[in-house]
Amino acid sequence: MKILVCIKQVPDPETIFKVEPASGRVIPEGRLKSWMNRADESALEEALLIKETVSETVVDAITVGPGPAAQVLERAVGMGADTGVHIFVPDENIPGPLKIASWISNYAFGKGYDLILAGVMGEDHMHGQVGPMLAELMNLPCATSVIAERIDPAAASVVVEREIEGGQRSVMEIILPAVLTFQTGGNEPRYPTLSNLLRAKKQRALVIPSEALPIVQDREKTVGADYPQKTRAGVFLEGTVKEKASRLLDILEKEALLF
Amino acid sequence: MEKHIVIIAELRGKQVNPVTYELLALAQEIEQVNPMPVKVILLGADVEMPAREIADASGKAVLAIENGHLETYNGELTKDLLYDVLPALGPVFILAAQTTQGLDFGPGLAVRLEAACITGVNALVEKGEGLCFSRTSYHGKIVTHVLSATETTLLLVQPGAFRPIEEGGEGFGASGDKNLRRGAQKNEIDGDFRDQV
Repeated sequence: MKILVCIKQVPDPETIFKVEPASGRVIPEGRLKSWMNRADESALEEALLIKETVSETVVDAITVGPGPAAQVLERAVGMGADTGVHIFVPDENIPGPLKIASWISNYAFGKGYDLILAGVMGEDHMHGQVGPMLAELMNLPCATSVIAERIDPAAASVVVEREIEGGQRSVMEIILPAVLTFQTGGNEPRYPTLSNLLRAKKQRALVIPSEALPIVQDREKTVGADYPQKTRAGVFLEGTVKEKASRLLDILEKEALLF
Repeated sequence: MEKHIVIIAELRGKQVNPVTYELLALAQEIEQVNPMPVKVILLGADVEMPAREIADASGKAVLAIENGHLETYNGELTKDLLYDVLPALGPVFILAAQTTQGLDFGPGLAVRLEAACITGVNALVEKGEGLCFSRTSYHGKIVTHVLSATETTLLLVQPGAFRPIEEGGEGFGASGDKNLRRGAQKNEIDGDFRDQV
């Protein structure tokens, strides 16, 4: 089985960002600490668990970004991935999800991947689009928000459990090859081992300049950035306990939190 | 071809997901800036009652598409059915909820329709360049304003961001058409829905 895992380097959630008034660019304050997007890490862990149970499984990790983005590939190989692939883009050009999906699909097309895994959403831009767009571009079936999966190599299928609203789960079977995007919490990503980290240092990632790949242009443009305004005040419920409970129930239903 | 704002309504079990009424609220805001008719599409295995409920509440036309395989959500079928009907509606904006369903079918559908896709929409912002949509990033620390560069834009709307329309569709034009079509299977839709919706 051949698996490709899409991973991304994201800023530490504690990072403070500021908006440059002149350019509208979002830049971090101070020294930026980065790590692997946690949902991507869960996807990688699932790939490595499959590798442990299905013989002759190969796990490749791929990332798109500027030079420092390759650090996550070292960690991926350190965790147990076989190879890393870096689609290099210049720092100043932050690509949108369609462009990223397009580059990855162009790389992956024709390479015989049975499974392409990704995190459900990047913690930085929070688009949640690359996985399902990649599936569409490659004409593959897709399941998002996956929390667990079971591969049946003989049937060339995978049974996935998706986490949906209201704490519910849905289960579906998908024919391989397929794209799955993972939620966090379904597994506990392993730490890199020393031997694998040494291997990662020796084994350079395959670097592909983004200009070498055909792309679909992004179809939207970020034209400004700002800080969120606090627009909501608390609501104090009044009346008897029964009236308050009834009002609370009404609010929860209207906010789509109860069904 | 007449242009439309199209809302993809969502069910939770057999009930209308209340977030559908929040999508109608955003459609109302867009209509005020960029007037065009609003259509609602509802997919499911048995959708007559919820479709009537949406039509009654909003005063908008609801295209109800029934398919026995949609007893539970199916992303691939949802994309296929929507791709069958949407191009004929001339959608300028397609609004769906940013739920696990919306995030599952939305980005892929946008690719198929050659549409822009903006997720996590929480406000409409008017800028010199046109209609922008606001969304948060970096764990809610930053708000970005995003502009579409295509004729059609699929918006995944953050639940809770818009106050849902009230029963009776206040502010939605009292003369709203309340067409409701029942019994459409995927294969039947192509031939006749243009005349009936």
